[in-house]
Amino acid sequence: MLILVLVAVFAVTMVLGVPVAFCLGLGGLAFIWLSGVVPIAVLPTLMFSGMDSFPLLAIPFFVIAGDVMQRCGILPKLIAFANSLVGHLRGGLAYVVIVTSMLFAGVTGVALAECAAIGSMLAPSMVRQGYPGGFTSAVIAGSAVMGPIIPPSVAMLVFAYVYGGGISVGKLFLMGIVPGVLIGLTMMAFVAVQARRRNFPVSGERFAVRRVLKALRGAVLGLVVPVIIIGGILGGVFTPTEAGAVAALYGVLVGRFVLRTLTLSDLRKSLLVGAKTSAVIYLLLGTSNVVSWILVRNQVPKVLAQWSLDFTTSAQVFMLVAIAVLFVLGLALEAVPIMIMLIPILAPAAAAYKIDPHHLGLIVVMTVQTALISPPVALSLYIVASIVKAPMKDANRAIWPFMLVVIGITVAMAMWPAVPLWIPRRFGF
Amino acid sequence: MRALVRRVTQALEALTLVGMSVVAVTVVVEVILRYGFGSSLIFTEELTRYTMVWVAFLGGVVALRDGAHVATGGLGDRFGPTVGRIASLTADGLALLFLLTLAWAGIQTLPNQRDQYTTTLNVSIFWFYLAIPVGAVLMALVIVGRRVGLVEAQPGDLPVDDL
Repeated sequence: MLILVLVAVFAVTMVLGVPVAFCLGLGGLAFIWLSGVVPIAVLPTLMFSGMDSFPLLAIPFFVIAGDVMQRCGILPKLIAFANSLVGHLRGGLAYVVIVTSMLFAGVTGVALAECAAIGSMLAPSMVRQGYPGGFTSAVIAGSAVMGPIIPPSVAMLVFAYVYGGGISVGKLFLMGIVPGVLIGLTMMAFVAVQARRRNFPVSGERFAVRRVLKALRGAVLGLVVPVIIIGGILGGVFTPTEAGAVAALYGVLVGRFVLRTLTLSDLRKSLLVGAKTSAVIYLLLGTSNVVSWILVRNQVPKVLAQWSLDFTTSAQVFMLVAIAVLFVLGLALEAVPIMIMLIPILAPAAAAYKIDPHHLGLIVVMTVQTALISPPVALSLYIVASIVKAPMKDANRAIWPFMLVVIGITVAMAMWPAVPLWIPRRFGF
Repeated sequence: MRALVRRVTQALEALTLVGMSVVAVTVVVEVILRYGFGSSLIFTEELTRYTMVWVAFLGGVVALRDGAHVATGGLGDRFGPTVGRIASLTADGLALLFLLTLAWAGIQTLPNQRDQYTTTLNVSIFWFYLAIPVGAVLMALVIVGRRVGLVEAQPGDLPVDDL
């Protein structure tokens, strides 16, 4: 009964617009006060223990690394490389956006940062070349979804932490590669159809192997980043946290001594972005730790898992229901809070169906990415639409095909775990 | 008064930055020491973990100033300006209720932490738990300050401020 009060308080405060971290705290607080037996001291203690963790430090580091690399001029090199590969096609810039997003996804782990970076560099030229504003916003915001799916991924780190042990970050990262690339390829196929039907511009440049090789030389600086990160983690050279720190250091060294574009003020900004972004996630983790402690104490996840089992014994049906719930929440909420709130509930149920936690992680991370592009609350889409001054109405209409691609591939990955597992298996997982 | 408040929040931002730098540099140094010199710092893990709690609470204050926290905004506005205003006032009131309770509970638990020392740093855990009441009170002040127009967002030229 009191659990319902907790949920109601959380829902009402959230609708009122209280920051989600505080909503979770207020829900917990309501429970603590009404129950009368739980001492208030659990609030700060549980918050502290929810935030005090070495693996969690990977979050600020990967945010800093992505931000540094965006400031130090690696992105234009990746764009040039993508342009040499697909720029000559009809609708070239739209392909360039997708390929760049795929490559930059290996450097950054946050969709919104990727979207803002690529949007500010490519969106204005797309509109200048005559692409509709709505389509421009949709292709950039849609392909930025690959950021947290192709490793590294801040969302996967959050999943690994909230799941609470037993997750190999290396394996989870590897699982993102195939679905991420599939999303990119499917989006490119959609662009191909659109380009012919809507007569998108052609640049007139010809494809030349020499140009590709030349651009590759510049892009290598960025392309090696995921290799360092994943290689380092899998090879046992460093922990995911240290991998994040090393990636950030790499960005600073490249920016300072190779490309010579990174200033001290850039570095200061990157550190601040890392601190602020992680502060928001940390506070969410802190207060959600209070709520999940209460839920577990009252056996809520266990009961829900049993209900779910009574409803269906099929792991596939469970996965589909989970995808539907996560997607619906994403219409109004953002990706990371959804994960932090729902993983404690989904995890025991998934375990009851004997679902590999890494598979669950992949599907959760993929599904919640739609939160950034699903109207009415679609942050990624807002960012690009405001850059190109496209009416939200057009962007909202143009995003649907891209969202369908993401959902379709997510469902496919949920039904056929062997596909995303293909690469991890090569590495002995 | 406004200028003073702005300077104070900028000082908090600087402190957050210092904390973040300490965490980042310590881990980088740790990795370099391990592979370059075959040794390591024993206090890396504790120092960084606990410092990050401070960074989270101070960064939370800065993020609140800049409106970077995750929230569903403006739902009340759809029912007219009056409803919107009431909703946002209520939201601030509830956030204050949570933060002040957290601060109060945080202070209550502080005396117990006095005698608990961290294993490798040999510092009382008190100094890290202190981040909770301090951060909560500062966040409460930011909410009040925003309401009366004393605190304003300074997002700077950051490309994106939240997830």
